[in-house]
Amino acid sequence: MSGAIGYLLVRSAWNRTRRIASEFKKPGPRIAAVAAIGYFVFLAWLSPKGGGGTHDTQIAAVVGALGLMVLVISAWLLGTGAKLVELGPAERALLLPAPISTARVMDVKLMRLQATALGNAVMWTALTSGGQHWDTIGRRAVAFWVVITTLQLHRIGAARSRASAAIHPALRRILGLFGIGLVALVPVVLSGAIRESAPGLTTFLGDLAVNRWARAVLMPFVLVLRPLTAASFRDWTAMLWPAVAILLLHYIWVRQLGPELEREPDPLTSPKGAPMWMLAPRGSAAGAFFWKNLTALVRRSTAVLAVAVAVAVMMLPVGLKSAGRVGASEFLGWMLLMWSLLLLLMGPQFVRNDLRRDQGMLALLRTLPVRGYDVILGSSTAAAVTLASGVLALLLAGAVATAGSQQPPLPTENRGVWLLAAMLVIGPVSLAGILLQNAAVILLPAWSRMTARRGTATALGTNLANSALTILILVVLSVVPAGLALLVWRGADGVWLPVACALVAAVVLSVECWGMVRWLGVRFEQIDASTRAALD
Amino acid sequence: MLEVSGLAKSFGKQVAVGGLSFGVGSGEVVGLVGANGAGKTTTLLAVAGVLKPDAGSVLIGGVDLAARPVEAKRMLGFVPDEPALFDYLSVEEHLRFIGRLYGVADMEQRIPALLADLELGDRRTSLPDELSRGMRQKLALGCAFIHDPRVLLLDEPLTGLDPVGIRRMKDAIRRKAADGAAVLLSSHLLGVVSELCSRVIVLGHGRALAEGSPSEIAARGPTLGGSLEDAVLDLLS
Repeated sequence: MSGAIGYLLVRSAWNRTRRIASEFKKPGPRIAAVAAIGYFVFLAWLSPKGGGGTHDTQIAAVVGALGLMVLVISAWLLGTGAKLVELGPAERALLLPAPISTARVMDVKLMRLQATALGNAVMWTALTSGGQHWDTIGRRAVAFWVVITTLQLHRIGAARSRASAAIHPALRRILGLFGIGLVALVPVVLSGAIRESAPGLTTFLGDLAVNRWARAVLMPFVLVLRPLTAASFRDWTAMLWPAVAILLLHYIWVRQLGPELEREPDPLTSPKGAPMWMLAPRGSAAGAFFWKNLTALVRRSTAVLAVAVAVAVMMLPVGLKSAGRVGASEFLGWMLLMWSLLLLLMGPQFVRNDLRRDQGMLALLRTLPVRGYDVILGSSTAAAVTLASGVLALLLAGAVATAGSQQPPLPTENRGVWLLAAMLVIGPVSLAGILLQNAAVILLPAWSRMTARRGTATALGTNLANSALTILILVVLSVVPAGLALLVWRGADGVWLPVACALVAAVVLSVECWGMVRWLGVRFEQIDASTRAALD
Repeated sequence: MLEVSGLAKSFGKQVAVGGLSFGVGSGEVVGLVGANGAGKTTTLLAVAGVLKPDAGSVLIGGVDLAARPVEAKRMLGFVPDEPALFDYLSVEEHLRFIGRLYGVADMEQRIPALLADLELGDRRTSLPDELSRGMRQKLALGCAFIHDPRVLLLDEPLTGLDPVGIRRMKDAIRRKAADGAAVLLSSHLLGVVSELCSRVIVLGHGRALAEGSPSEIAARGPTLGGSLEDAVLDLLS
């Protein structure tokens, strides 16, 4: 039987490699690969050459441990590891009924995941080992492999435990308490280190590194990460065995869980939130698509969690200010303002409750008695409203947190007017960005499908190229609205001038968006599903 | 009710449908049969407006599908071989959404009746991934029935259904035809075709090899008094 399993693994790996190689015959994957390689070269160039001081190492360890903690918490809250060991139809039909233990089936899945773990270990080693000796690079590669494999196993274990909890109420209660405990770690870690005297990120992390409570909570994560910081072979050996012991414990845990629950639905990963409102029997088709795609958002566990996190983050500046911690509030405010801008520009790539979500439903959509522009308008506005709400929330929270700050480039006077002006353009810019992504679904379906992939270098490259292209076209689309707004700026005066300019820009951009909706609607009606099948 | 004339569709050099013409009248159930790749699904997809034909026309209730697609599709109900459902809408929400798109006026009365008819009343809040294959098929059927279509297109409608489901599906098809709908279905199950259809079109390489009632087709078989299956196999060979 081991021979058969080995054959399956080797042949699968070989065929997969061939398929990936054959994909590079098409221009899309080639562009993605170039973008990914360029990105990695850029990151490697940015990475610090040679070792940093003790303080730098401490801070790096804290950042790593915090990152690992966030990933572990998200694995328990969201079940993000479920897909890692999800059995394919053939595996379900052929492996589960075969006379082999479920632990062996799990071994097959884990062995296949090693391709990802090894690839990531090599990538991270390359990115962080500039100017290092070969022996140090080798040790670091092994340390990265331990970290990545442990995290993989933990995510799988968390997902499988959640699936078991769906069936056993007692386990569900225990896991619920465990989840609350995990989330409670965050304030414990952070509370000791946010000080009035520490508005800067480096100082904050330095405080965190020496805080007793934070160190206790982060200890397991630090143990896994420590071999990465070893300066000598002796240190590395001493640091490696606790990390390997944690890895082995994870392997034993995951292997005994087995994939036999795979066929059971996992209600925890597919929560059924109520729609925001009931769809009225009569009304526009665009309205129905808008409702459908907002309902899709509500049904996603990540969306519910994102709202909870967003509310918490928005409340934080108010809490910090009321506690008199102005410096920390200001620091957080800057972060929020930067995130709002980043979300506005990069968000269309990731907020996908639009036509991208229905790409596999084309046949059904084409049988419906609706015009193309109704489909485009309803689908795109749902995603645009989602995106704009997120950007707006971050902007408002950032504005509250930085209120009173005199740091440039924040305007010193009439800040409320500037805020209103910014709010006016968020909607049209969001819609334009989302429409560009939906245009890719209609005009470049194969490329659009590639942007939905995750976890490979090609996927990363696709997303980078996609974001860059979206921003570029957004800039082109903004030329006329920005030009007209500039004319108003030069020709008028007054306190409300920023709002007037923003209003002009927003209206002109909205008109451009309407033109895009009409044009994409026509193109949608002209799509031939057979051509798309050939393209895909 | 449904008029197809000169329908042609090729995929590259491969001709899927080559100049097919037929009609389906009100209350008639017409079956498309043929080997794999004969052009059955392509024909149904072209009639449903999913595929754009290379040539020919499709009239639904006298309305040209190419010229006035929205008006034509309003009279159409389509059930694909694999139920196509939105993974994030519940059973009832599917019916509401599709009903709104088709402009169903009495949706509030129709949905409970349809759910009861399809035996999905106790699954109205379930998402598609919580349903069995047969239930998903029933929901797809519900989506096609919600607006009381005048032309019903069914691609392998009995695939994946249990015996009770098959009986109910057959009853539903008969009922729709009795209510005046024109039904066009494709199936490999010749016994079912023989039982349900008033007329059969045997397709081969995208062309109609034979057309007539099941008994007329059977009469063309190699043996006197043979079955529809014998006749179809003879035609396809």
